[in-house]
Amino acid sequence: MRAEIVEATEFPDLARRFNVYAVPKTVINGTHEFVGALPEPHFVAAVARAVGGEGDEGEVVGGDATPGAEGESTPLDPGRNHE
Amino acid sequence: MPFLNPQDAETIRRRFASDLEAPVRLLLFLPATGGLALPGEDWEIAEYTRRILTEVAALSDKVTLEEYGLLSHAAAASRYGIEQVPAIVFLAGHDYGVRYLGMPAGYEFVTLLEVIIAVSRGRAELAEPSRAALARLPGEVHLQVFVTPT
Repeated sequence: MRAEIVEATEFPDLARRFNVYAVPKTVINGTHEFVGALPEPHFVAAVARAVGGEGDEGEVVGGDATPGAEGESTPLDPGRNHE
Repeated sequence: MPFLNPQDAETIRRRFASDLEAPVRLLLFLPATGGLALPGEDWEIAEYTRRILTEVAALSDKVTLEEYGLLSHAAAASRYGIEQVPAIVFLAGHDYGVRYLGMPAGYEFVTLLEVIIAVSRGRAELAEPSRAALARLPGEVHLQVFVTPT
C-alpha cells in the first residue's frame, strides 16, 4: 500500500488530473475517489471497492453511517485548477 | 526567523520524547541545484519545506533529515517512487509507503507530526475490523489524499 499526501495547490497538474475542486479529496488507485473525511469503516469500504473492481460494493465493517455519505470538505479557491 | 516558536517547539519535543519508538529517517527530495530550475519546480516552497523539516528533526535524536536532489540522486528517487518535488519519504527501518508531496505547513504540519509518530511506532490508529478488511484486499492500493494548508 502506498499513501501520498499531496498539497493540491503546489501540484496543480495532479490536482487537475484528478479534478480536485475541494479538499480533502482521496483518490484510490487513480480510479476511485471521494471528497471529504469518511468515517473509518466507509473509508475502508471505499478502498475495498476500488481494489475489488467495479460492481463490488465492498463491505462496511463496524459502522452505521449512511454508505456513500460524504464528509465535510472545503472548496478550493475558485479559479484554481479550472482548465 | 524560525518556523516554530519556542513554546510549540517544546510541545513537539515532549510529544516526540513520549511517543517516538524506532528512529525515523526523513528523506527530502529537492529540485535540482546549481541554478537549474525545471518547469513546475518551486524553489521557494522547497526551501521552506527544508527549513520546517530541519527544525522538526532538531527536536528529537530519533528523527534525522536527509536531503536528496531529484536529478542528482535519480536512483534514490526512482527507488522511492519520487517524480515531483518537494517530496518527503518517511522511513523507520521499514518503508511503509507514506509520502508527502509539497510543504507540510498550516494544518498539515500536524499531519507531518502524526505521520512521523505513526511510522516510528510502526502502526496506525486503525480499528481491528479495518485492519482485517484491509489485510483481505487482493491487490495493491495507492491512496492519494489531496489537501491544502488551510
